[in-house]
Amino acid sequence: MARIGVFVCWCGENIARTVDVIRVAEAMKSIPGVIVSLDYKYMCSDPGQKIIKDAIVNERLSGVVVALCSPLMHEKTFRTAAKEAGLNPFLLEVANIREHCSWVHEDKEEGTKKAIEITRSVVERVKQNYELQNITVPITNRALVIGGGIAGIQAALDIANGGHQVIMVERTPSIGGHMAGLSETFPTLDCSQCILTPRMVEVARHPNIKLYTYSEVESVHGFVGNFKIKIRKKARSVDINICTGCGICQEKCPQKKIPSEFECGTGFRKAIYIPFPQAVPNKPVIDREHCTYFTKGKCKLCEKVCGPKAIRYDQVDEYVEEDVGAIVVATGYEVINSDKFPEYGAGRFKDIINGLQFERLASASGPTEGKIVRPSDGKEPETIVFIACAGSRDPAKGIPYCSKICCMYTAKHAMLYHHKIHHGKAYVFYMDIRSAGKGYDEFVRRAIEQDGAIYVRGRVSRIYEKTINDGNGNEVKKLIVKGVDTLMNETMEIEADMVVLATAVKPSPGAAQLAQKVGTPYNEYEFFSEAHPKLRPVESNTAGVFLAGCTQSPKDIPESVADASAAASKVQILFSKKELERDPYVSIVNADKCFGCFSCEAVCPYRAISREEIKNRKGEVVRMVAQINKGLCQGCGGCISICRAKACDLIGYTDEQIWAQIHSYPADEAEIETETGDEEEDK
Amino acid sequence: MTTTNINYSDLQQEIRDLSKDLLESKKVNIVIGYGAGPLNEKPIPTFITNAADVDRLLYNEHCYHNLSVYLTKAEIRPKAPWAIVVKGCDARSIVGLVVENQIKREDVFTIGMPCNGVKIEGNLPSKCVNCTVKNPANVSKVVSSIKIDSSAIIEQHPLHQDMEMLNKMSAEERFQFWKNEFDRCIRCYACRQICPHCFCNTCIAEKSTPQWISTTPGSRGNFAWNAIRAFHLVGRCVECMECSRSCPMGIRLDLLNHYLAEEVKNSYNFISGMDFEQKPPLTTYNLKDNQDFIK
Ligand SMILES: Cc1cc2nc3c(=O)[nH]c(=O)nc-3n(C[C@H](O)[C@H](O)[C@H](O)COP(=O)(O)OP(=O)(O)OC[C@H]3O[C@@H](n4cnc5c(N)ncnc54)[C@H](O)[C@@H]3O)c2cc1C
Ligand code: SF4
Ligand code: SF4
Repeated sequence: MARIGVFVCWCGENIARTVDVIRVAEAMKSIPGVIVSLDYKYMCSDPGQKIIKDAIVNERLSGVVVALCSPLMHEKTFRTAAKEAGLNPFLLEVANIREHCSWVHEDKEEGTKKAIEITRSVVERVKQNYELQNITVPITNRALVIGGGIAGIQAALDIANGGHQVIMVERTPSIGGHMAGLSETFPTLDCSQCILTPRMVEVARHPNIKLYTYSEVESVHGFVGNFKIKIRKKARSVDINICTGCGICQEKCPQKKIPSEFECGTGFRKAIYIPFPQAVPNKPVIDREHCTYFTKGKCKLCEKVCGPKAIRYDQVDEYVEEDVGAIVVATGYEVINSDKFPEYGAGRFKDIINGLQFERLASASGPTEGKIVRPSDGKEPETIVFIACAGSRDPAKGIPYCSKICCMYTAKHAMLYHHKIHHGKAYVFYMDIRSAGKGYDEFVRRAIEQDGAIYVRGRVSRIYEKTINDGNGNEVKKLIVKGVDTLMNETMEIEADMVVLATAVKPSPGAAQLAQKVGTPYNEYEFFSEAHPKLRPVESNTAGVFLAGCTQSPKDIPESVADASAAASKVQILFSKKELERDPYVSIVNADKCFGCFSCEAVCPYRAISREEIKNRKGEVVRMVAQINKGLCQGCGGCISICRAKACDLIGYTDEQIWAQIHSYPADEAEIETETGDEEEDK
Repeated sequence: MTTTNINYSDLQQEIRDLSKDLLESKKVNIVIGYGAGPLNEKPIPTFITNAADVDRLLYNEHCYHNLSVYLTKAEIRPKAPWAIVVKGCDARSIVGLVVENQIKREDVFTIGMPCNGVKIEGNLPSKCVNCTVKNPANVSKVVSSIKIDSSAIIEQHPLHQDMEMLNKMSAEERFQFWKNEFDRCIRCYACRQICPHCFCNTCIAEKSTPQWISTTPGSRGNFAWNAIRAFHLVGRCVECMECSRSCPMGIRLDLLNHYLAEEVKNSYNFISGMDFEQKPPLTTYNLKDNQDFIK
């Protein structure tokens, strides 16, 4: 016979204001099997917990119901208390009479009635509860970092320095991400490559880091502590173990006019190329789409000139598998295309560039060796216009969010421009200046006050090209920038030589597909979603998957790095244990009822279901049934709802338990019964 | 050559010859077909295990049973490999059974019959109007070389008007309509027993501890039973309409199944039993799935 204890909490006034807790506790006493039923002001306090513990011992309780706040708040607290008193923690259940009742009702009478029903239903459920043990699963102490930008690099180094192995997968031929292409970085104007490249090299040299560049994550199976990763190593056409990185192939390659990804189209590369001089690994790759041999079947010049004979035209994509326990997603961002702006010529005007292109022009290692010149004619721009929020905060362009970094880098650009072209005039069109951050506002002020940037609050409505006479009888091409100064309330027209658009930041291409592979949620713009915006900012909702950098939202370098270290520390917390304990709520299959349609196998999002052979005494397979791997199962219940025979059941949430709970509600309130009026059933 | 005329005695002879071959060569252990019933004209399901008995097999326009239901029955299942006489519509059930892992494709030899519609009590059933599988697909062998002309498509499906009637109803009216239908149910489970796709070992209707569906005939249990059965068949039912034929109470299972089949077709562009590689739509998902019901 059940011996149930019920403990109803006031939660100060939180519950007691709209629920008569004394009446609730009183009502429970009449339920068969309830031995004690009490109320108390704060059940979660030490004395409150002591009441429960004492009752468990003194009354030899077989089950406990605590009627109070959401189980998300305190289920763990009370289950621990039950355990301390010698009761299996899974024999205690929470009846939520706060979030589900007192907080959402005003009428005390109705609220009390509802609280009684909620609590009664949980009492009936607990009568069906049985002892459960947590499941333990081993953890693989190796992490996967996807993306080798600054965020990925930082996360990998931190985890590796913590003594754990790291697998890094980078899609492009080199790690470094966008930071490798930046010139100088706000707010201190230190050279981007100078601070980044030592870390790139450290990644390559680190004994704990295994680097897969020019590779992609093909599939992710498993669960926290036990992920199985399949990686596709794309065919580089070069054996990087033999290649010495001498670069002679790149020098001799006849394909010269391929726009360089690294230079954001401001410069060119060959068909066999090392993306940039500091690339890690410093080994070339053949771009098969442009290679003469691959397109025309003849050439093989690189093979001829390669000393160590490292060229492999016949290389194919290779697949490798790695076991890891945690995943850090650091796949970064891209900026939207200029063709999204018909009002700015939709990418037709050569002298309208984006911020990343400006970075390359301003970079000492860039195609112009740091000289800021117009792409159309190579002349120094005397007047330059920067447009912040190009696409950002513009619902019409589908991007209502703020790209966050543009205000700062635009100020930086205006500054760098002034440092190089002292007599030039720089206009900045902006909506608001968002420069919260250590030393950030000072930085923007410097751009305005010391470097003479002319800030205009307003938007640019249109830009078009016009050929005008410069006064010395020369025809010159200008960009006519039509905007409005909202502070002066007047329209403006600037004859500019060059325009730089601070185009909006969006997630790396393929972010959604990756999120689906990894099994984590993402938002409508395909940024990965954090588990909690305030309290769990670097965790995803999938256990064991963490986020760092712009994968999650636009961020600058300091934030990306802080994220990465935070994610790395979460990974190391996970790795600090040998085994992972998890709750026992997993599905089981009743093999007698299972008829092997394997609908469950198809719907299981965690791939926890496999096929098991049922054999007769002679050892012949007579039928196949579903089998659930309890390490993989997350207890979502998908299999249970698809199973027509009800062969699947969820431990801890069995049909019996749910049934008992539903049936504790007064039957005459079931809608269908009042409608049909057949009283003979289920009474 | 396409035709609308069928010489049944030719077809019947071919079934017999083929069955004899299959049994004699031990390619199959049993032939599931049609044979003489108590009312001479109307054949009943017949099981032949001996090549000498093949002349008991009959074939005519009254062969409306969907015989594939027998394949998963305890008495027949162990007799694999089987040969089975199927019309185009019945062949869809075989596909469904293979797709849902109930039978192995290599275990079943399907004798496909060209069919220009069966007769039930002298009438052409609605399922035979606009039938797209008059010449059976996905079968081991099509009997005879005749090709049925299936180009004659009439605009309106015989159930069209009833569908329209349902669509015009408010939710309450529709609920009432189905309640009235299901109220008549006597819980004989004929619909379940005859359905090739109701192959569970234990039907949810028989589940006790806890008993989700009340077994006594009564509004509530009847509604639950019929609604749950319909849901269990969504995207799987092949509209052979054997259930509605067998229902002694004339419950509009034909309309219920057809309505759901149309829903599945419109929502997922899916028709069941057409392809061995297909997966029932409710167990798979696709990013392009229609989501406009989430509001
Ligand atoms: C014009 C401009 C100027 C800027 N200037 C500054 C500045 O001065 N100071 C500052 O603090 N910040 C600046 N930033 C911001 C800075 O670039 C970012 O904060 C930083 O690069 C973010 O790093 P990340 O690692 O998150 O992303 P990224 O640098 O984008 O790196 C992501 C990496 O992941 C890889 N990847 C993507 N998808 C996959 C995949 N599916 N599988 C494997 N690999 C993948 C990419 O190839 C890339 O290598 C600037 C940004 C712009 C646009
Ligand atoms: S055949 Fe008709 S009466 Fe019998 S159970 Fe099915 S629906 Fe009810
Ligand atoms: S029509 Fe009826 S008997 Fe035929 S498959 Fe559908 S539900 Fe089963």
